[in-house]
Amino acid sequence: MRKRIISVFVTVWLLALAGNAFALDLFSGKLTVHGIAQTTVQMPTHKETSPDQLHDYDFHNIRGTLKLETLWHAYEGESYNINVYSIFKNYYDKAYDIDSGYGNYISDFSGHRSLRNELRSYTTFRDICREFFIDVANPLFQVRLGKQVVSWGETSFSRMADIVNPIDARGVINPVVPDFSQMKQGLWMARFYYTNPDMWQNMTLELLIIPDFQPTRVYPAGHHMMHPSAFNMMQNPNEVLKARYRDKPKSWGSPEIGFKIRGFTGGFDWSLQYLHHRNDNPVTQEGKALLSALPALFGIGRTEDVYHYAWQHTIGATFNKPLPFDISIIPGTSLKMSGILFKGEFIWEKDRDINQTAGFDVRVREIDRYAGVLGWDCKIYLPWITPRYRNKLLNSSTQLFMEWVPDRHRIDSISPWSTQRKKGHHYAAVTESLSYAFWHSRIIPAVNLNYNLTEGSLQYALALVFKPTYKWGYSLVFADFIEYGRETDNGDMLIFDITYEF
Amino acid sequence: MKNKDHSNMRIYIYLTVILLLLFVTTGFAIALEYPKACYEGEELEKVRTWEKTWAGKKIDSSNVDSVKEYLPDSFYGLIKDTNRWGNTYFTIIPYQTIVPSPGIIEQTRKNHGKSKVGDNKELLNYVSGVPFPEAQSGLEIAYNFRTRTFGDAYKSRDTGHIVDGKLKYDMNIDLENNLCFFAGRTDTPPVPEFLNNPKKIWRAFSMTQLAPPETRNMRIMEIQYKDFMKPYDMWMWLPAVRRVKRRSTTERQDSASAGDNCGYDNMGYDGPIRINDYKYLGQKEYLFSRHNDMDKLEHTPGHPVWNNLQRERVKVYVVEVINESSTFLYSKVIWYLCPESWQILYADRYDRREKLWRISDQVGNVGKGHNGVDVASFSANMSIDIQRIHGTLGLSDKKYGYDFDPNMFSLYYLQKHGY
Repeated sequence: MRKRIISVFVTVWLLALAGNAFALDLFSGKLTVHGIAQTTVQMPTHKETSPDQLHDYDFHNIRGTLKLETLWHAYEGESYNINVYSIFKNYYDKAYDIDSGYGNYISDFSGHRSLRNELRSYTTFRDICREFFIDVANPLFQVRLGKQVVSWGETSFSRMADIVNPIDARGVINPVVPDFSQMKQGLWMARFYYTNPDMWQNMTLELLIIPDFQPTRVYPAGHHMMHPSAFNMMQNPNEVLKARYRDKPKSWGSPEIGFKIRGFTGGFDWSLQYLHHRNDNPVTQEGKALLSALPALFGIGRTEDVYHYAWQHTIGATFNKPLPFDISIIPGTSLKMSGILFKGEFIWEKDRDINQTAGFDVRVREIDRYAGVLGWDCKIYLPWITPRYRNKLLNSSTQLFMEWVPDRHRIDSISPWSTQRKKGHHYAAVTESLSYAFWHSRIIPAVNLNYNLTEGSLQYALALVFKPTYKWGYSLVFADFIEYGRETDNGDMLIFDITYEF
Repeated sequence: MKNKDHSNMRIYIYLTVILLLLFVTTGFAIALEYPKACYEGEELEKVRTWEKTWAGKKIDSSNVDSVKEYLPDSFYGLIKDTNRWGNTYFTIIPYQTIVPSPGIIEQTRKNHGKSKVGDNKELLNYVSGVPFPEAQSGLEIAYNFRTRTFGDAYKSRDTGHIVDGKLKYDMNIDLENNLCFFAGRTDTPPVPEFLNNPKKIWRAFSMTQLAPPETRNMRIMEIQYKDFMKPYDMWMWLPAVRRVKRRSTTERQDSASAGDNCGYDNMGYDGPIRINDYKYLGQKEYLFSRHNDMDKLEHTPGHPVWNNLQRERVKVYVVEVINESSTFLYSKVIWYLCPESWQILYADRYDRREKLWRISDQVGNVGKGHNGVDVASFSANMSIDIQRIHGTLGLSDKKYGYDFDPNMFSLYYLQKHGY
């Protein structure tokens, strides 16, 4: 019944809106609604799925997604304005119904229907309501109260200074090119800005008080990106992951607090930030490693009170600066970079709790972690191609990601954003994104590369986007993992997507 | 008695100096012939005689040969070739003089002789008004164009069609623009500059994108400085990533996503004057739009040209513009500038193979600014890709002399209004 209601709802929306470009400016523009309806099909392309996965199948996702964004200008006065903003999003995945192989696999894997439900759609208001806040602004102050997503930091590929909101991986189809704007969970918070126009160095001050806490939401067990073969030995492997959410602490009495100062000095945009917060990823409590796995192993009981979300300090800084000159890539030729933006961000995680593996048990210890990323965005003039195709330049974004954990021991487990190698204190990766536009930007080929310098592993995605009109878009993406280990390498995929925006 | 004589003598000397100064000042004022109309005396009579035959006439492919001498070859070819471009037409209206606003006249006279061009082709000592009312070179003409102030500020709602003339369909855009001059002001108080301008801003611009949906709520802010050698700054609010992102302003030649223009093409030309070489090719008469009624413009989906533009005879300055870089997107651009408003009315833009690539028609009009003064600007434009039969047609509903809070052109304002 619920499926029918959702289908009817989506159909009515699409029929009502199709062909009318300005139908969504309601009440003389006081209320605007913007939406995206999307159908996505994802297929595994690596044929070594059996026997690890017990069943073979052809589809990971056949998913319909609807996202609605509304902005209501509730009051516009001379001294202050009031706006109300919201984003609601849900999806429904039919892969388990259409591809019985995947359906059977999920049934076998979970032993009951709960896992299938979890993979099929969001089911709670918390998940569906991504953002919902009221905004009051005057020339000196701004206050935003409600559920919000905060974007700190400069870079996009490796998440670093952007630490306020936790991740929800369930809505993500393509993990090779993570779209953090779609992954971040909104948190209920109060956000204050002080924006005195006469501040020294054009500074603005931002204060966050976040009484809400949500842990990182990972893919459920059985998802093709959360499928270690060890899970096949378990009766109910998702129980391992569910405990992370059951052990979420009560947070309203002890809110997270953060602030950011942003300024503009000598042509540099810069910011300094601080957040006193719980880590979004838990550590296993000492003496409870075995206890955390038993219910999952035998399919009996409930895993609870095994994880702990520890407090820590995170201090960060960012900068950016455009370079007002071109740089030749091959001297003597016209192959050159222009429009260069140099940017970077750095963080220091202080007193962060991590686990040490000790036989069948774990210990908890504190470390400091330092990380930084330097980015280089530019446009590249391609001899022969650029002048031939409307003078389109190649878009390029390069990022060098580095981290250092000086006190790291071989048995330390620091996840998920830190040292991925089994030993060593340092980790580095380089990412490169390239895109070009043909035929008045209707055809856009793109490539994303992520090469782990310390491990030698590589993930890349090749994309081809076709946008015949502004409202409709079609894309085809191939994503490949190389030298990440067998289970991750099996995650190669093909993604086809149709998007309608209004 | 002796002291009194000395005192009288001093007064005579002072009076003589003051009279001399007045004479010199008045002498300059008399020497400066500004404003100057396109046509006067016999020339104007000839134009009026010609208009008795042609004013009010609709010109299309059937009779365009009769006025061919008054059209750029590029536009004549576009009207004539109906197989390629469909039926394009315009209407001839009588020439009307564009008289600069009282503020422009006053500032131009007051600051006459102060502006200079530096060794790097930068504009020095500019205060307000037309810097070179008796322009003798292409470079001076270019600075007269660059320093227009559109009534010192405007707020506009711009709609547009990106038209594929081969596949016969449109893609529509909709946006709001704000442009505010912090310095170089002429008519809207305070003149000539905001009293509090510590960042030495010359002009500031902001834009909010309303359509297409994929860029809805995207905001752009651009700050240009009084120091014409200083690169200007630009930030964007990107709703998709919820972030204010800095953007380089030295790269403005990448074609706008689906459109037929790039950053340098806005308003006829929008970039540093010093990066080009200019050659003045003389004055010539053409039929261009300067008093266009935007309500009379006609557009058929799939036709990449505005129809029913109202064009009048005008004796324009013709300037050849060549960028210093050998990889610049245009090998050459020909500007056709109005000598009364200094607006680029039309441009022929050639690709690197020196073939005509794009034509730009800035559809002029005269609106009302602060205290009802006339503001010569443009209410529409079209940039047409001659090679690909593709056009970008814009319509701009401007409110001139708008009283902006200068603080809205700041980073925090961008963040504050970003959703």
